[in-house]
Amino acid sequence: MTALANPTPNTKNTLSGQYNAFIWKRVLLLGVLVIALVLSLITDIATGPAQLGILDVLSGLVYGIDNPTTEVIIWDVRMPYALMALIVGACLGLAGAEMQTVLNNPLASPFTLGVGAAATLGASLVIVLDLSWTGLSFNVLLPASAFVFASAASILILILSRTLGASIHTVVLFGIALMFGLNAVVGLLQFVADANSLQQIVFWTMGSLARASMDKVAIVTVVFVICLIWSVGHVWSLTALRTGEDQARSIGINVERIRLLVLLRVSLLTAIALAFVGEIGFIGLVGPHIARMMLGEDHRFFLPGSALAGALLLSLSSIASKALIPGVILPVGIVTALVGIPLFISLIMSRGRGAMV
Amino acid sequence: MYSVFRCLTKSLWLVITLSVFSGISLAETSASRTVVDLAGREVTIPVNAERIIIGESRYIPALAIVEEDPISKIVGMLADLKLTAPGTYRQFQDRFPEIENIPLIGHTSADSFSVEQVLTLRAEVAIFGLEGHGPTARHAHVVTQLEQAGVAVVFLDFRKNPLANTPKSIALLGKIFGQEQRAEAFNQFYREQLQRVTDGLAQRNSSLAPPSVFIHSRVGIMDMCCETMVRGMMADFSDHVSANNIAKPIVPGAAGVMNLEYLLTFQPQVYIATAVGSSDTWAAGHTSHADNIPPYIVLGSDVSEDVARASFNNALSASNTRGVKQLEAVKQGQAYAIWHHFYNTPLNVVAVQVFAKWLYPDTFQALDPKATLDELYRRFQPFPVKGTYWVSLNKHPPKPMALVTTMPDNTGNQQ
Repeated sequence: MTALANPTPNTKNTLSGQYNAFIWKRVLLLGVLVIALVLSLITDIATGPAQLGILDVLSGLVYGIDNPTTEVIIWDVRMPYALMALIVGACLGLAGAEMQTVLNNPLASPFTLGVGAAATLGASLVIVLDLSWTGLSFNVLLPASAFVFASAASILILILSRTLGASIHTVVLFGIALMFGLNAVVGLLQFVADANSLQQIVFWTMGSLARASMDKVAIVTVVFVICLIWSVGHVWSLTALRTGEDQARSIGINVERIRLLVLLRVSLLTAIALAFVGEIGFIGLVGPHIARMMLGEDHRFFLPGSALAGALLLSLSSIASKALIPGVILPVGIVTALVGIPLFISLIMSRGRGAMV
Repeated sequence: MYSVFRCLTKSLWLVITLSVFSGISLAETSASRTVVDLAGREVTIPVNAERIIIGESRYIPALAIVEEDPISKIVGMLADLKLTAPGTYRQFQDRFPEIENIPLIGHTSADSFSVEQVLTLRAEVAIFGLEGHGPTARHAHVVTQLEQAGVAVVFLDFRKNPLANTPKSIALLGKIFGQEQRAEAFNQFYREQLQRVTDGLAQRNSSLAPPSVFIHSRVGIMDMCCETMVRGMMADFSDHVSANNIAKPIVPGAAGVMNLEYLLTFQPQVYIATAVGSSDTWAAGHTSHADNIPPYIVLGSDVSEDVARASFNNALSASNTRGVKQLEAVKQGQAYAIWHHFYNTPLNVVAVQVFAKWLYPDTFQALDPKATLDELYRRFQPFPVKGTYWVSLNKHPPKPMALVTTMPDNTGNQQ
């Protein structure tokens, strides 16, 4: 970037031409992702057992609906389901991308490093302990507690990677250990939970979009937009960080501060995404890899690209979860893993020779 | 010298006593019989076993049918009854306070089951379910370990194929407890009550289309819409009354989550919710709330009809089940809730009668499931029935003539 910012006069034209091509190519690719996402969203909204095509849905949205059954189908079933897939996928994609960058590790994602498990623990605690005395609703308490625990896990990972001078591999190993440890604590919680809470925890650990509603979509969207805008302020620093920590430091970037802020953001994104649909793995891992292969490391494109790729993946999974057995809703967590694993393996195979780190 | 003599005498007595007692116990263990359990296995069980463990404590009501005091013979069980049906548990606790002292050999799942602890309990017989929350026929390692330790393992079933297997399971329990007559008395009652439904259906005009039904599991507890049962469990109750379970052709397994949109499109004529919630846990945490009605349906021995109905209305007003209120069945008052635990108990015959009455109100006008439940408890349970086990959403459901005379409307355009 520094070379691009201070071009020598005699190569200016060529370089600026190359730079423009570089930009245009990525803008174009982002456009392709957006178009794919819109198509997927439309397909998702048009998919369902009722004889209700996309035109019916769109005219219903624009001109209003006089049939209460159709209204429920559009506003309580199809729209929240499709939009929740999109926005949760975007949250997880963005969170995974940022995490991979600040931990300098392609295996990092909210789920592989225990941040997701910590969020689950936080949410489970709210389910098990009766917190009604706080006067806050479940819709607030659940994500708040998930966020507190996810942040604690992120900060733990951060402290380790900083103070112990840990290598990438140590951080990953620590994250995995953290994940198993936290899962064990969730398991313990299930032992003290009464039957009602137990069922809620168990179903919470199986991701499903069927629990989406428009007010939850709105909450997640607000948090996502805030985080996306916040992350825009960090794109140059994050790009610099990818060239190496020392180099980033040498151009005056406060690496520690960036790491802390980004991990807090990751925790927020993970917690809010998880709080309403339960655990959905692989999006945070695979979404950023797809974006990186398409767009490279420039975070101006990589971050929105990851969010788009994550949204696209979960949107496609959402269609599959409804369409595989019409009339039945499969837990989207299962579908995501089934879609995500082959994709992930093919990515590894195709990139096997090139170092992703 | 004297002390040595006394010591010798003591030892002699000890040897004699020991040998006599061991002789008795030998005689006892040699008195065994072979039974065939619900998994089709031949099992040799001791006659009059005194030390029994049960895979699910929800089997206690079944044990109480054949054995007057089942609690004194149970040396280990899972914690599921207390957790999932606290009202029923409390009734047993009032009658048999020592139920609190029974060691728990697990929580609410087979994974939490401790074989080692079972072995220290010196159980003679272990009673498990073919399917369910405790160790089942699929947990071969648990069965093998117990059998190697000399514990006879028998399988019951009130869940996989409830109506056919309930009499067989009760007969098996009769043999285990040496109470064949009591078991047969129950089975006779059971068959009679089931027959009343079969007879009623036989009288019905067969040219009429069977009513369609949707069974919505665990309403309010599950944070998503709409879990259902299609094979075994309560699905068998609606099958038995020849109702058209609209989820059956769609869901591949025994249970699954239906798309609410499907229900709104291919509307069921009758909506039946199951109530797994307990009012205990809610009341405990919400004493300060003016409106002390849980957001999930509560039924059971501690629940009044008014509270049950209020909780039903609450559960259907929650955001994730809001669409259910748009179902024609709900709008027209053909919406009912039933105690979830009927799905895994010999009391299931009552639920079949309730289903029959809900689905064919004209045909079964004379049938009184409440009287059946009362009699069942009076004759076969250690305490009288109390509480509410089923409820309609509306206090006075409209007379549903349309239900039995019209064909299902599957067009999805009700307006």
